[in-house]
Amino acid sequence: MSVRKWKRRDFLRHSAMAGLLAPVAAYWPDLVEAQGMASRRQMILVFLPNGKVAGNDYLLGEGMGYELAFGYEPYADFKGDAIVFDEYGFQSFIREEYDGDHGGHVAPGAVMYSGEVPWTTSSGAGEDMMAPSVDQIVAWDYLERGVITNPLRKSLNVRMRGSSYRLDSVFAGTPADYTLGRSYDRPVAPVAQLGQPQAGFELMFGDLARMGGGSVDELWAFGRSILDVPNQELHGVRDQLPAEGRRIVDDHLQGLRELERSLADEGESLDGLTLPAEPGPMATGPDQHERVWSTWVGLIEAALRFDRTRIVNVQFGGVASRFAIPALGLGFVGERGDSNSGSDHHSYTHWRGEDVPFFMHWYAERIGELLRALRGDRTGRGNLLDSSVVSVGMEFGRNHNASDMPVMLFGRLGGHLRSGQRLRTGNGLESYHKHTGLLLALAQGMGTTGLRERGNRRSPDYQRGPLAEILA
Amino acid sequence: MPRARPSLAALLLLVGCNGVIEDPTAPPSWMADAPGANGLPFQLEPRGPSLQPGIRGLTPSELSRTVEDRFGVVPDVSGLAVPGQEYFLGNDAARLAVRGGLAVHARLQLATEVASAAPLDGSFPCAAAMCSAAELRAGFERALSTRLSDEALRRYVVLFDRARTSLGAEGARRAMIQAALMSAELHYRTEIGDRTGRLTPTELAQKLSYFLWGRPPDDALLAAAFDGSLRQPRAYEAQVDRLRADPRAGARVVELVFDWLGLDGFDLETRAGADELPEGTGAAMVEEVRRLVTRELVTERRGLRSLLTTRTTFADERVASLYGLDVVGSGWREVSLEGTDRRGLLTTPLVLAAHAKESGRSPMQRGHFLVAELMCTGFGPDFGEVTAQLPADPGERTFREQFATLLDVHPCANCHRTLNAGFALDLFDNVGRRHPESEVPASEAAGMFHAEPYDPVHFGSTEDAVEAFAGHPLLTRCFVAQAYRYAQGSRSSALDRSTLEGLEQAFEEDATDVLALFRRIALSERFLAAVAEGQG
Repeated sequence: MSVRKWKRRDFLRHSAMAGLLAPVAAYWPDLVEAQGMASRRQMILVFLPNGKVAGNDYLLGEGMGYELAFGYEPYADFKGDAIVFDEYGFQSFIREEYDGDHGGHVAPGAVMYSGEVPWTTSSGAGEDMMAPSVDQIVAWDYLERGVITNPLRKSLNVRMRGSSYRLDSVFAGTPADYTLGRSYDRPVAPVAQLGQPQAGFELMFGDLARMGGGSVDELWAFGRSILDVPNQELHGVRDQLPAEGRRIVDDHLQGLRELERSLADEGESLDGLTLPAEPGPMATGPDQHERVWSTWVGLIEAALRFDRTRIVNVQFGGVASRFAIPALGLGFVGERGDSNSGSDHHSYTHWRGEDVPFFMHWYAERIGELLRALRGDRTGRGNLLDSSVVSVGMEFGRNHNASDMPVMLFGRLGGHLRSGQRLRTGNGLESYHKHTGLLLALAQGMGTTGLRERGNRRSPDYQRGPLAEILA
Repeated sequence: MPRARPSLAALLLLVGCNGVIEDPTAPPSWMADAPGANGLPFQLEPRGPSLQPGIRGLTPSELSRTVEDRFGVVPDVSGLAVPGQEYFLGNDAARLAVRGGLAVHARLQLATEVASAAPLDGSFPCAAAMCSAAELRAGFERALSTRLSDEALRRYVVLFDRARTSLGAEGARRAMIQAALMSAELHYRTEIGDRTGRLTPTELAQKLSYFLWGRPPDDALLAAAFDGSLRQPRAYEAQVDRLRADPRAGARVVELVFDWLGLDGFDLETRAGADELPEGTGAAMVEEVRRLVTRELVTERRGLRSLLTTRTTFADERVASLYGLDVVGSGWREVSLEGTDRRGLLTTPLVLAAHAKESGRSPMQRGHFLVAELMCTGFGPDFGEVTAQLPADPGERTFREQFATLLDVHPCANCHRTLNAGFALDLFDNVGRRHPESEVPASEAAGMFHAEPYDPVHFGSTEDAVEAFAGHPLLTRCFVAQAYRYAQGSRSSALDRSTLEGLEQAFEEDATDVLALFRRIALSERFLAAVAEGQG
């Protein structure tokens, strides 16, 4: 593998060429994807807001002869790649262990990928994650073990525009003092999410080289030399501070280490690759959702295929999101004066549950677009889905209730998962360990085998190891 | 499928009420002896021990002003993450960490861009191509507002030599700006003090300057810190008065009011119908409040209560249109609110829009704003199941009357006896215009605000309500606590009890003069005290 550093000018030249050639030429070269793919694993975690409501069944019929109800048909092409669940839920756990609002939006969003309830304020309002999400634990492990060498590309964190209520992100990072499996009784910070595909492009392919040229580039290059200044200053003051201050310093020091590693990382050569076209700044309003998502799909696929990262998380809006989809042409529902009324997904869950599947259908189309890209359906680029897992998680399965969640897994994760099956997990507290076991199975499937438990230790039977039923 | 009615539970979820309010007879938070003890009337208070970290980062706007003052360049800080702050002031120290490589990268980008554009003679004026150690010391000490240790100076001298080799003389000076901008000394200030348990002079100078100006110390303050004279009470008091008299302190007061009431960062575009308003309406709404706060609290110093109850405001043609006022010509002018349903800050379009839903009426959102932000009170940690719903068939009852029925239902009444006060502001739509009288009659602005143990306040109009809120003890208690938090960068604790009680009393004696409050805070013992392990 070449270790030539990708120069900014080369990069810009190639991306411009790619943009010009994209319509008329085979967009992807064949040569790279086979490289190392057999041993690589990719994880893509998706969070969809609001969810379905009671009565919105999504699996029709018994056993594997099931059909997908309206709203989920776009997944029909992927039944063989999928693990689907009946009665998947953790509302009982939330009711038992969460000090806050048991019927609220925040807790299910937090539990979905961290397995832990949110940290609460004195008013019982969860507004912070209390545990890192599983993708970030794997990212941390990859960095520790050198699987990923550039910390700034340890994950691609995508945010489709939409409002959020209290919780900044359902994906949270690993604090500076993290050790594998560590739990916290304090808030942990949300990941920095990217709303603009251009920002994702720069992070994944620009090697962060977007300075102004000439002397500015020289100064930028010199920047590596000055990182030692804050490093020494922070170490100098750290021990004089109270514990909370030391945490702030440790976070900053970790950031410095990550940047230093990133700047030192030569990375693999991008020679010979035709990069996806630089998207440029895009409008990201609701009327642009489809266009923005298609751009993200291209970037996510490219980032994974070229091994620029192995971990992606995607959040459509946020918890309790007023996620509006103008393309559906759905009008206002509710009553003037009611705070849960509008034309968005959230309002429909309150006022017209029978039409919520229109929203689910739209999400399924978007996820289907991603799955097809990963599978290489139309490009013949090889099946990346086989070595990946795409997890689709939601906020609710019933109205304001995280039971009967339409959670789905796609992909075989390099043979780790037994796809093409349907499982019943259960909604009760006794099934909580199945959710944490699923998260654990995904982490271990990614190679983070040192992670042995996940979840809330106060909860009885919180862990029985990876969920065996999903394993090959 | 039957058509779902919106449950009250769901309705309340969006405003934070969950059926049970905290023990209303509990004392204020600074009277609670231990974390977790009963009584946390400040919804803004997180659980757990004090988060006073002894090190305080800069908010993006403070960083921007610091760069402007020190290097003569206004930087683009849009790439810096702003922490979520629903329950915190923007300068809460525990939330201002630089987390992750991307965050440091954004700062390096900013440092590089500023260093390449900054006028050199203002930052690192060196007599010759080769900056001397003394010149580097002077440059860094001013840039970082602190004395440089010999060890630190040696580091910079070595760095300068290396930069000169690779970047040339001018490039090396720019690299020093870049280094200063990456320095932890610029991005943070410590409050760990010396052996006396008090802040060091440079720590104090920075704390005072960022509190009163949101900027680094000017040359005079820095000189007083460097020569140690700031330790003298009279000298310090003189500096407090000097800074307080400066227009920059007025700007800081405005900033606090915006932060306190959740007005910063408001995006008018998120409100339905905003695209039909004239271009620049959002900025004009902000400008109106800036002018109003400046006049009431800074220029005229009429006090907080006057800010809430004044019968005049400022308007240009865009704001006047929102008020339904006829104005001739362009430009800003003072306008009377006589003959309208409005009075003061709470009925400005910005406040109304910032606490409205995307569309429709928003009495609960605004009630929550009044309870949680204006009054700093909240809903307790205990949660009950909400069982009542709004009537399925409202009959002849108005929207307000439907909610009024919840005052008779337990546990709904625990929240709604305060939340329903949002109807006081319900005559106005999601961008701050008066709803047509035919849709929302003036009689809808009636109700009660009952935060025990205080007497209930009954109102029959928006004006009544504003008058009552302005006179409510919780208002001044909340504002004093928030101003104090603004100064300290963290929540209050039992150690702050007597200070806060004294400040509250003095604030009343000073006729709610905010600049006087700032002065008292800056002169308080707690402001001068260092932060130590276990303090809180």
